[in-house]
Amino acid sequence: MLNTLQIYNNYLVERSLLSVMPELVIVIFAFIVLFLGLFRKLPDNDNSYYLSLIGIVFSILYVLMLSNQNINGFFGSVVFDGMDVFVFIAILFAGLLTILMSKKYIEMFNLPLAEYYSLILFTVAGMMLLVSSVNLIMIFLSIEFMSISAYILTGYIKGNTRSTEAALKYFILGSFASAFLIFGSVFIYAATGHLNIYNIHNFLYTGSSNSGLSASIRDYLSIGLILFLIGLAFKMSLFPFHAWTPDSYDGAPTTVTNLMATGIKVAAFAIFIRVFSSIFDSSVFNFYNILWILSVLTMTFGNLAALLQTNIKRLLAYSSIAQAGYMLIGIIGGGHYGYTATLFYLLSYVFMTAGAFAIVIVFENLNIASFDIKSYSGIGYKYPLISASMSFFLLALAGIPVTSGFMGKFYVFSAAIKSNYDWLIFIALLNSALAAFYYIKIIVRMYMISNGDADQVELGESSANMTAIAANITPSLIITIIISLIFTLLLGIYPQMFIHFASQSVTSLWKI
Amino acid sequence: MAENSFLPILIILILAIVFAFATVGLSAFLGKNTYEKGKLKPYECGVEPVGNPHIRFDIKFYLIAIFFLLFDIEALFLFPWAAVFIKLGLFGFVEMFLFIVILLLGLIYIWKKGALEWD
Repeated sequence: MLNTLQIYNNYLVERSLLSVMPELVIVIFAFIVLFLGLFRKLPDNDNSYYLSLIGIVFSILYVLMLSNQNINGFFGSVVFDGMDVFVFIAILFAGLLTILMSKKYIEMFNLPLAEYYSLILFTVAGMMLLVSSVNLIMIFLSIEFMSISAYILTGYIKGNTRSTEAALKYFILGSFASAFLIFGSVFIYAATGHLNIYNIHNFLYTGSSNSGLSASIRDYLSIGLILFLIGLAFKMSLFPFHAWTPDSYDGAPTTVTNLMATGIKVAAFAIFIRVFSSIFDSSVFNFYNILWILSVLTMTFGNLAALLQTNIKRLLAYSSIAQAGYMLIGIIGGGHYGYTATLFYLLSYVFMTAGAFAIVIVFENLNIASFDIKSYSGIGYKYPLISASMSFFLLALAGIPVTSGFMGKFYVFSAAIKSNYDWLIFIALLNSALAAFYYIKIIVRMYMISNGDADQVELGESSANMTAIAANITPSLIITIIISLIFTLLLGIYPQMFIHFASQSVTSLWKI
Repeated sequence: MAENSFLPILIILILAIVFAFATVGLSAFLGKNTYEKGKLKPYECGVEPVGNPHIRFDIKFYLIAIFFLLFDIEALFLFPWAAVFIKLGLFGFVEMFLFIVILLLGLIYIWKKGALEWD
């Protein structure tokens, strides 16, 4: 039997540390931010904000520095490869935009700042670890790491019942999902005898030829993979497992909603692509059919439910469910092209959603009425630039050309067309048309002159609201909107660069 | 045989289920059934209950319980580590050192936050 030390020498300690370097930077900065908050003498306001930004920027630099490497560490349970590079950039931008938009927002609630920023960093580190893990145990641990930080952040507004309720719902359903995930891992382990997904892949495809798998192994494996899929579907908020999404997106602080909608979704999809491409053996069970049904249900339900919403955060939550359905189409399309398309869609989704949430924050105050879509009427004339950007982000979410949303949808749909999923694309296109209705409804609201409804609350009308909005527009929020605008436009006009980048990342999936 | 090696576990599982049902079932079957109000009290033949059991108690107890849980689990991890200490060598020592340091950071944090003060 091999001594632990002997095994460890094969994977040098440096390699292990290098493989988690970007995550490690984030974790170290999270601890620094947390512990700086303990010194009462330091002014409480800005340190943690700037330090977290520096941490994220350092991590992005590390990702770029390591971008050509293919390192695995910690006994082969964590890898850093091309896939990580692309997804890390998306996740780190999600974190960066979240922190940028938090500055004024979180001061509004009079809550401790150091813990907030360090929890954001911890969540980001959890997402990154999740993407880079290739071991079933490691996947479970990282999902827990990411989710527990997110549960705390969801309930961060102390004493606010909506926030607490959201956190409780998210926590209970999230733990339930984790149980599915770990139970699925147990079955996969029972069937194959391996925890590392590359070993499982080798066991399935090379060790014994496919016909060689015995019937009982097939049963265990199919149960395990389906349970695993359910566990991840909760995090991706696919249709039958979406129930927590609207409530927890609605109750959470808007910045945290943004982090959940962008970062967590990206991380969950990325790890799903990694696992799906290597161990979801379609000869055991036809997973493409399951994903087909999930995708159609997710888009249709998300869009239909979004039509009925009057609260902007709930509308964006249902829209994010529908978007998850579109993303799934790329994975169903499969192959190199399909995964590339999904990664591209994920990146463009981060920027359009972050932009939309940043503008929700502009118009948000402590009154719940500020979330009502009715109250947006007429703001197009009072805040022309901000409303124009909001319209742009909404058009991007609807998938109108020139925006990144159109290019993302185009690549995802063409991936499915290549694999002859014609009906799926037909349904998806119908859904896109349906989705355009409720996105454009908000735009119409913004540029509509009041029709004299007595009960209509208008944000732009009362002077108290005007001062609140004026106070909300801070440089950091404007920077958030500008970054999101630039990338939404850039990904829409010049997608080749990013598609090339994504395509290179996906190549690493097959270097097993 | 790999499949037969789980047979004792199956037998013990069946025995456990049978035992659980048998003890409850037999006492219900053989015993005398009486229904009266006194049976609903927590202590049937003890002191008369006074007041509502659902009282509110100080949140500090909850905090102490959470801290106890954290540091108790830390101690729990130390035992298996100590048992294979020689085998793991320096690597195990460094790993455990890091683990303790992270927990120590947690202790410093709750200390500085004032969570350890009772008042």
